[in-house]
Amino acid sequence: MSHNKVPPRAGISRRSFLGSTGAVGAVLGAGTQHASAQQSDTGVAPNSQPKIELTINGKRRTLTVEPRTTLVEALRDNLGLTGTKIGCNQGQCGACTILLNGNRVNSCLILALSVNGAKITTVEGLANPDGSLHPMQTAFAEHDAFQCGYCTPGQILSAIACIDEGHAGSADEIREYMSGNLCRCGAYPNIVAAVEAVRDGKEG
Amino acid sequence: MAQTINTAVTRTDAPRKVTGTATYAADFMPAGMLHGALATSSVAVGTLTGMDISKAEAEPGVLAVFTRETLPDYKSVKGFYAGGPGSASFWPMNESQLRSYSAGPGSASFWPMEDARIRYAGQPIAYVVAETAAAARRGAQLIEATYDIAESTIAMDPADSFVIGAGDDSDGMVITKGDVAEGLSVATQIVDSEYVTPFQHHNPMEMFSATAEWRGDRLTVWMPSQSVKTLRSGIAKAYDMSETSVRVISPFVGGAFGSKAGVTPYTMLTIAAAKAMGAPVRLIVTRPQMYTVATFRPESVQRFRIGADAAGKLTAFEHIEISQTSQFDAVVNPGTHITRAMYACPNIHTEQRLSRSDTNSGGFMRAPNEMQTFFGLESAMDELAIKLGMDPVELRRVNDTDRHPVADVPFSSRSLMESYDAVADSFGWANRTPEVGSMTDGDWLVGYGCATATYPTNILASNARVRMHSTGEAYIELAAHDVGTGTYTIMAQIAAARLGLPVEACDVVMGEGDMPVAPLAGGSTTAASAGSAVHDACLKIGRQIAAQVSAMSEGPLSGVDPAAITLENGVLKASGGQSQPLIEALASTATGQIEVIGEFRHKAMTDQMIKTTFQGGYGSAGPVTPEMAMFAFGAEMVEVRVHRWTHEIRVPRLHGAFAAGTILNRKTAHSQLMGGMIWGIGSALHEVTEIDTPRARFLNTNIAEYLIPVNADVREIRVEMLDERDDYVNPLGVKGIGELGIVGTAAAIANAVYHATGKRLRHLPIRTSDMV
Ligand code: FES
Ligand code: FES
Repeated sequence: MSHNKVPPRAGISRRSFLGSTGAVGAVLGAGTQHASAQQSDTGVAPNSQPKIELTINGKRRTLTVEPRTTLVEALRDNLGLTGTKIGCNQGQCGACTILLNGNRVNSCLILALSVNGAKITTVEGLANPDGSLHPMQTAFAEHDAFQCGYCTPGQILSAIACIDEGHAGSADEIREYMSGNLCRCGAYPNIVAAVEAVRDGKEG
Repeated sequence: MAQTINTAVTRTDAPRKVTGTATYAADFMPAGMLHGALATSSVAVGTLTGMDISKAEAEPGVLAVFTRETLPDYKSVKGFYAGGPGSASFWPMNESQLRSYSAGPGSASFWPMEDARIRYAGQPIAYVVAETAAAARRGAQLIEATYDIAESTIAMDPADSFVIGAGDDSDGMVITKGDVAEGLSVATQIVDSEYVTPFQHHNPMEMFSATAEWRGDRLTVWMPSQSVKTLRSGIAKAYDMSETSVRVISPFVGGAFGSKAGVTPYTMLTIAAAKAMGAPVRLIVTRPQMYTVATFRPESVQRFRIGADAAGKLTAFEHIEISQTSQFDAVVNPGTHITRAMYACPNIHTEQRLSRSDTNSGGFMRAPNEMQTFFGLESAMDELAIKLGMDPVELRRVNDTDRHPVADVPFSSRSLMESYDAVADSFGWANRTPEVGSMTDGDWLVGYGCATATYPTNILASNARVRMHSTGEAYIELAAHDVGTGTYTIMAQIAAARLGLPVEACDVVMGEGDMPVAPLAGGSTTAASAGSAVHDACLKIGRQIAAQVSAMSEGPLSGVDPAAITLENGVLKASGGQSQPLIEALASTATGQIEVIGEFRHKAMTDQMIKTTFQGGYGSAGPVTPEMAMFAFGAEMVEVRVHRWTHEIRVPRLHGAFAAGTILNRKTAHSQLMGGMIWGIGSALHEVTEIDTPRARFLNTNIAEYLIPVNADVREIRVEMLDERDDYVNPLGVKGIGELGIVGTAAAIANAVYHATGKRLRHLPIRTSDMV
């Protein structure tokens, strides 16, 4: 496995997240069958559900959420934005990666309530209004940077942020900074090629 | 546009996959949908003596907590599934074998929540329904169960193993040809070694889910599935419904690798809960629960005794495989069927054995018969080459054969040594110096290793519907699956090539139980079998249109004997030289469109095989038919670096060359082979489901501690696809590539580790700690 991960500037990748401070690590516990992030599903009174406002893909949305609702479940279940995927629901896989105020984050680790007022970009918000694709979307398609496509929305958002952060200088750096997004189909070399192509302005 | 086969075509579903509009099962949310969650047992073996559900019921948002006493419509799927996939992996069997093999993975002759017995850790014990997913999960956590705990053991005891289906029913589980003792007695060198592989879990990125909605007596189930037919017939049978009143929908699957082929207890619990609630219910199985509510790759021991004469020719070959199964099922992945097909040898003995322990039932995981056994076989061949002082590639060459060593029929095609030669070239095998530890680069010990890859060609009956319009569009429909395999794209390519249309004009719709029968997406069958059905449909369109236009009073083919007209790249051609584009001929017909059902039946398929497939089972003809042995082959070479001081193991280069008949799409095929090779890196260096022996539980049940390769673990992967023609396997000449890439990688890496360090590792995964 790959070790010595430097945490991305703004992102929380799987490995760097687990390897970071004790305070954060404690939420995940030992990660055994019985200790998981889902322990955050603590009880609340249903009639006291707060309202939040988010700007999602440029559109203002107001929604009512149970306090324990994660951002990814708010997007998918409350708003029907199912492009964002859940691969573990415990901060380990990156499938739920979105841009939160421009930074890549695992949306399964964030309570929707805690980001009231935030600007969010999901995979649904990348193409232009005329339907033309974001260069990273085109590059992923061209380079066959996926197979089943399940990790893809998260990979694409992570890849966009990877370049924006200045972490796409070399193939090695891309590999390192894209390692928080797991791909069980093993599309990694093609993902790296897609990121390089966009970095070099060869797509779109 | 005719040349769409064997080119690099971008996936037709790529636009949907990059925009988030590809719809996976859990993305469907019927109106009024409620959320389910499973509670599972915390002990492995015993009896459930009580359950306090009061806290769960009091949890805000929780609507119902179902136990086995309160879920009247919960049904199991047992007998049916014995004929389905997983019963004996990919092996066609007769009736009595089916009985002795019991049930398959996930189906189990034992079905949770039918009684108070607990037979494995993580077994479902209750089902919670709530308004939100979070509330349902919380409710499940609040259930307090008490148990009478009995003794349990999770690791199998290889000394306590048994052969299944012996005697007349052996189905090749035990075979002897010649005399192994005799062969060993004349051998110059003998390898007598044991190789051990661990429990592994598929861990597709998409979590298991099931959504059920009843409308009167009609049921719709959304579930990621590798076999919508199996799922639909299983559910219909359990509920005594007609198959047509059960809809099963699974257009996109977020990776499966063998884990999504069955009808599982969690499916049936969700269906029952939806019925009880009078509302649709969706269950998303948690990542930890995925380890125990479906299947896994069983742990195994591979015993080899191989003898060779001074020239390297094998004189004796013995392989005994012992793999784990649960206490209640006999799940066998018969790897000895594959290893004995590899090398010429006059004296062969192979034995397929099982050993029981307290787990859920295992099943098939990518290359289920091959990954483990080829780690053993190809490590043993490397050990033999070293004992003989031979180049390991040359040892394979000396023992290459064009006939199946046991069945004694020819291979329909076999390009093993062509693969070795191609990969040796691209890899630079000639630069390898054979002495252990002889290649270093600073503080890195460098090793080169190689291994053979193979995968049997399984072919199954399939149908496909194709409709063509004179406007230049085609519609292709079949109950096949795209689990990341590129199926949508290759089916469109086949139709485009035959009908003379652009690939984009061929709309492929798949993944529903009501569609024309296509086989389970497993055993690398879909391209060969379902693809051949699409091919047949297009030829049928050609014949039917030819008959119509030849009967017309005018037109280029008017009056021509239709039997003398063939369809070539979208053009109807008469033997006399007249021709007409198909689309033009179609436009001249009254309807301007035509719809047919194509069929793929191979002459080696028995009626029983076809029937099994049509009932949702796995009726494969092959890999060995009475006439031919059908296998794809390949060779892999790898450079491994082990750091002298930190003992880190790196894989900077992994090359493979493969020959698998016709390659339909060079882009998606490349991805599949590459993905398989990356899986091989995982098996070699990362993947293991750790076990908690005292408590008989799987331990690292999440995707951070169950290690799979991440981006930074994967460096140069080179895939070469050789041209190979095979006219026997099917009309397209396609073998199958979904699993080929993983086979051999682990052994190649182990062999390279030996070459670098002199350490022979006979277990997986190989870890840094093994280097110390
Ligand atoms: S990291 Fe959020 S779903 Fe896996
Ligand atoms: S494409 Fe399947 S998990 Fe990445």
